[in-house]
Amino acid sequence: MIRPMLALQEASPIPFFTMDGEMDLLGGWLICFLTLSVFSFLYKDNPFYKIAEHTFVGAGTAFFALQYYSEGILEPLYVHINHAMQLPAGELMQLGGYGVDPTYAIIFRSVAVLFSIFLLSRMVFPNGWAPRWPLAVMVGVYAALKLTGETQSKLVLQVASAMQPLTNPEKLAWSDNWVAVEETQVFYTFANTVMVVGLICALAHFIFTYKRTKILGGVSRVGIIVLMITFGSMFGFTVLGRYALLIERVDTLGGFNNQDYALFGTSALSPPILLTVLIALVLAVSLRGKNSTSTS
Amino acid sequence: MAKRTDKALDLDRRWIFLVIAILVVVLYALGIAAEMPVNQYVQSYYDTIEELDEGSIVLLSADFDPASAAELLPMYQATIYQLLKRNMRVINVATWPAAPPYTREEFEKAAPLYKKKYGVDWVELGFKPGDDVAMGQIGQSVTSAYIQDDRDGKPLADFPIFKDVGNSFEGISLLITMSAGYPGILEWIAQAGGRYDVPILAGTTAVQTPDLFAYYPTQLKGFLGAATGATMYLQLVGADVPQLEEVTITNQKRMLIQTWAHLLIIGLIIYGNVLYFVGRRREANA
Amino acid sequence: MKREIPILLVVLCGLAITWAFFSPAPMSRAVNDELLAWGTVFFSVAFLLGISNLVRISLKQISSRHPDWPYKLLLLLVLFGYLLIGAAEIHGWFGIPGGENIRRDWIYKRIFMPLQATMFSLLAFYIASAAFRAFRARSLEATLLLTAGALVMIGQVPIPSFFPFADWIGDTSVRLQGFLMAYVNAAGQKAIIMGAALGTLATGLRIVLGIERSYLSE
Repeated sequence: MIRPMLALQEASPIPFFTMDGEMDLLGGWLICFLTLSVFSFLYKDNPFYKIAEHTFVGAGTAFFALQYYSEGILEPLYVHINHAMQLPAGELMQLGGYGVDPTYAIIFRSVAVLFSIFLLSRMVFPNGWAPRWPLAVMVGVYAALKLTGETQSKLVLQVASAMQPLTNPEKLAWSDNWVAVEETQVFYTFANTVMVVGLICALAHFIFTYKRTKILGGVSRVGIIVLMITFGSMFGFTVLGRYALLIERVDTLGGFNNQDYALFGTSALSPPILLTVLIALVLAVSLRGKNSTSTS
Repeated sequence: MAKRTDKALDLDRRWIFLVIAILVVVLYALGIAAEMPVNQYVQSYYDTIEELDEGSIVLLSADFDPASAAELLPMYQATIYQLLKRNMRVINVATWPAAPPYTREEFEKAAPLYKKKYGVDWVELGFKPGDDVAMGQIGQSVTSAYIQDDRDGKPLADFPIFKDVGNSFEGISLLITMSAGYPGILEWIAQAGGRYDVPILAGTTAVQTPDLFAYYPTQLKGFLGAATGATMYLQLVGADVPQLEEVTITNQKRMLIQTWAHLLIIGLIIYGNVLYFVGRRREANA
Repeated sequence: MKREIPILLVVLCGLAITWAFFSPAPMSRAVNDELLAWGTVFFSVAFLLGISNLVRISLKQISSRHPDWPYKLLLLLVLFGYLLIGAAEIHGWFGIPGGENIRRDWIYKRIFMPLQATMFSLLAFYIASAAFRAFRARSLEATLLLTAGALVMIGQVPIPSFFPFADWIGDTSVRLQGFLMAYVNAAGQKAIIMGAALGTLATGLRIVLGIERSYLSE
């Protein structure tokens, strides 16, 4: 339907359909339709949104599946074993930088193939013993990786970086200039004291195995204040992030609001405008008379 | 009066949605750009790359998807331009499955401008599944983690760039991640920073930005926080890269829309609180 | 057999990975690398396993004529259509050169990309509604949370020049929120990070040593 109408605009430099990486007319209309269909949910759940939602789940699942299949199954199993088989005689296969005989490399990876089949057997025997083996390998590997890496970087190094000196000889002794206040010794000492005291208080708040005496209770209360300011700043940043996404969507729709994408080359019939009006009309007609309640 | 405040608080939320939509669309149509002063975190990010020796190898990890591209894609683009302009060599990986279509496109666009050769100056390794496990494996040995490249499907030994790369980040001078959440910068810090002592830079979404202040400057040399950080960084890199001019102005325009959106949210919080407290006082007096 | 071997596998794999963290011995690195590769493979297989559930549930709803069944049919059509195109590109079926991704990327950029980005952008509307209805300064803590949030929101954006005292507001808010983020927020974040790391350490040790076995429950 759109095709012949778009064909009327000979002046449009944009092709109807292309796969060479550039945006095409079909793509432009599709993007606008799907974007506006999702936004239509803000008014009420409706068929446009449902189409968009189910297309999203279908396309997303398929895209992810293809990625996991090609990069997580084909490459480490098929390509790896194939690579080991084709190595010239006498050459070693590198595993983490350590050369091993290709035969061993093939045997090791064949066990992974076997375990993958065990995992897939869950589809047929959900409570069988076989899927537990690869699951156990995953649990062990993840637990150990988290245990070692996070303890070092998030405990040891965090404690070390929290031990700040309270003075810094590179800072200015004093400044009458308000602009340079962050560069003064007084500010440095004050700020780092706030951080260390704040940290100790917040940590004290997390002590649940000790009776809340007056002192611990007081320290913990300061800790709560620190944590509340932390959560407040997280909230502020969350708002920043969400609006960045919305503005980008509006920007994208705006990008298609020009003659090149419009029907008959008329700006008023550009995809975002035309589709907004169409979707709004269809919704208004189809939902007329129906109870449209909305809750927060 | 109490009834009136209750009624105002029960306002159909779609009116609020409409106000937001009108606000954003009108401000977008006005299209005013505003420059932003650069903060120390963004400056450190920029300087860390500037201070690297020419020809250094950088591992660039794309850990994002379309849901976070609004914030991270401009940073990613600018980072590629800064790296290539400074003649760094880049190994491109991704721990998010939806990132490679972006990475492919951006490098194909930027590399010819600086006459960079695939396999010599940059290489595309693509997505590696497994989250922390993938990072652990890449950290231990990139050449073991990936058997072939993502663009041509050739063995890594065929590419000259890997002649200078060893195990445990040997030969890699810097790790940069564009991180949208899990897995991202926090996992790279755990699996690479703590283990191999490689300097790390990050571009992150707004939601993840507050976490990073705890790691700066010891475990994280610099970061671009949210759309704000992206705009500041674009101003720095875009100053002498004409290809980034448009995206810089776009981001500056977006930031001004952001200002009004934030003011609206603050206004809504204040208005909601006023209605609530006035209503409660009236109830108490009644 | 059903419990003992999995526990043994967890302990062996856990200890091998921990060993590689402390030991630079080449042998430990090879074992580490191989186990991590297994981890990525099983991770991917587990994802594919999840799809079977999605398909099963959708088929069930279609066969029982659930009110949404036409949409479920659409979901399956999109899913299998995309899978077929992708598989053809990966394996070089139907005369398509193997290893290409231009068809996958076409669908990705025109369907998946706008849909995912828009889905997440909806939250901008809901956060505004929540700000109006739910955020109440009922206590000192709540007031501090809202004040810090507002300060960050102002400090992160440019202040239009026609505002009264625009320069002063801009400068002050940037510096105040800068202080809050770099020192107070950092203190709170560090406390959360250290607390979580202690939790990870304890749980990790329990799993690696075979004490924690809840993952085996049916």
